Amino acid sequence: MKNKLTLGRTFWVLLIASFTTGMGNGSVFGAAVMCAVGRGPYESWGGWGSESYDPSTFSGFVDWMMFVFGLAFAIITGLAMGKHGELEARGDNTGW
Amino acid sequence: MLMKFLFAKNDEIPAGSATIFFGFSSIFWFVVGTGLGSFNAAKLAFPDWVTGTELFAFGHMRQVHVLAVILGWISMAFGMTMMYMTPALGNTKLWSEKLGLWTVFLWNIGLSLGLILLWMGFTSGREYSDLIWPIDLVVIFGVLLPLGINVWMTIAHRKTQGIYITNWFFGACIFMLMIVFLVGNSPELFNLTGLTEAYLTFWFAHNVLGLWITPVAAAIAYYTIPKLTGNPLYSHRIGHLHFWSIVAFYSTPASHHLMSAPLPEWLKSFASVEGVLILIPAVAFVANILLTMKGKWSMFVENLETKFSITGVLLAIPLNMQGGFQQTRAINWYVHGTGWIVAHAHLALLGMSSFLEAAAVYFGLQQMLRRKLYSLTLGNLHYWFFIIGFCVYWISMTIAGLMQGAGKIYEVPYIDVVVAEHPYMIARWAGGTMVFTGNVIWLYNMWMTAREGTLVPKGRYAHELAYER
Repeated sequence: MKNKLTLGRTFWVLLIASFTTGMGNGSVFGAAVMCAVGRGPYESWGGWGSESYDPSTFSGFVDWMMFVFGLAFAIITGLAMGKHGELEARGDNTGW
Repeated sequence: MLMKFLFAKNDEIPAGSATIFFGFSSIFWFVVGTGLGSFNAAKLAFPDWVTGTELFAFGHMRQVHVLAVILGWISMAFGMTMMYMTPALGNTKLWSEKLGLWTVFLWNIGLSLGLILLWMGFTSGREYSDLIWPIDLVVIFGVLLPLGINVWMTIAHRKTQGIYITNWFFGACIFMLMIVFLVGNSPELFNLTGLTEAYLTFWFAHNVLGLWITPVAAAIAYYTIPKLTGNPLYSHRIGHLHFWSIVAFYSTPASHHLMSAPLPEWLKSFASVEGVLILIPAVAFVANILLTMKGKWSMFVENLETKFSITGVLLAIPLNMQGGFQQTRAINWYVHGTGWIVAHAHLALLGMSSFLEAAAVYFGLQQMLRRKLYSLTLGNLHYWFFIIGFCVYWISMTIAGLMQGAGKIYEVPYIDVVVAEHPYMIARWAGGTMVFTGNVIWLYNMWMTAREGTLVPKGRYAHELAYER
């Protein structure tokens, strides 16, 4: 049997569902870090336009953590899916 | 047809009738609920949209959206799954199809009445328990009690030795929800005020989520994933851990919603610790389901119902990570009262819970109608509208919430925060409207399934047959 869980077949599901899952975890991590670090000068709140995506600002750092965690979770899940696909293609249902 | 069955003898009513009426009612209310959500989101994105009419003011419409989704879509989808899963897991038939049909009939009437009154401004004024007390009594004694009697009696008349974990949740959660409605509405029933009122309001709000919406959705996955994949549940014992840890830890942390209120400090600390302990049932549930997928992961991309289910299970991970930690004092100080909380609530209801229910409604309606889904293309279109719309909504609201929280910490003038987050309000509306559009497609697809879906032979499952369209 052939691998049904190639990156081409899982890409969009992982990009959307799995990336979002990682982003949720990143939001908690980022918010916790910023609570520990505390606020900086007034200009660094990170609310205006692209400042929200500047990791040196308060809210930009959390947004970046969301994207980093999202990417990490999507890669981990993608690798796991590929491995599962190989095992399922071999009909190997043992030892994992 | 419903009116004919309501007055027929129980034995003359075809098995699965209650499931079918519950199923279509739930999808209808999902369309209504998300349509109202899209309308309300448009008011936040475009402030000049429909002004001057009191009935269409945000303050009138918001709670109608919330309760249409909770008591219409989600709870009716639960009722639907209980009507077919409970007997199937007990190797018996539903105790009373007639009672099931009366339940769905009274439910639709009561909910319509309650929402119209709410829309007109008859409200208790308490978030989530907005309905006035006569409607609360209808919910308890006209809806939950008959639903419970049917489920409990079906379990009691089962032909299997044990009780599968799904039925543990079903039986217990109906009972717990009745208690939640009775006790949680006591501020209105007994005119309680002050901190007692605040605490009980959020005791209700928390427990509707924690003892009904999320655990019953999880219980559904314990049925659908083994049924779809053909694999037995990885561990029934871990399922028990999930059940008992929910009952022990998640029935009491209501005050973590009120961390800034002058409640006793010990109570807030206790609630916060209990809130973190949600990670125990959460890990138990997610691990149990993902391990049940062993050898069948290809179904995640090939089978529509599995795709919905596993997406819901994946979304349970950030849901519980956020839920476990956002209520600790430090993070709560940052995110409380911002769009983050709105995003989190949608992660629970529209994300984790709704994806699991949609899978079960797809599966159950095909089984009970004995018809294959009319169009896989429309089913997939529904999935993608749903997931992309949800992600756009959730990401935009989370980022907007973080900006609001930072604005609070940095003491940014309120109006500046409103201006800064405006693009995210438009994204929120676009995402919500995508979900609504997907649901309209779903209703059409299921209607056509009932009329023209390929007939499924006896003894076969719909998902085992190839699509003809």
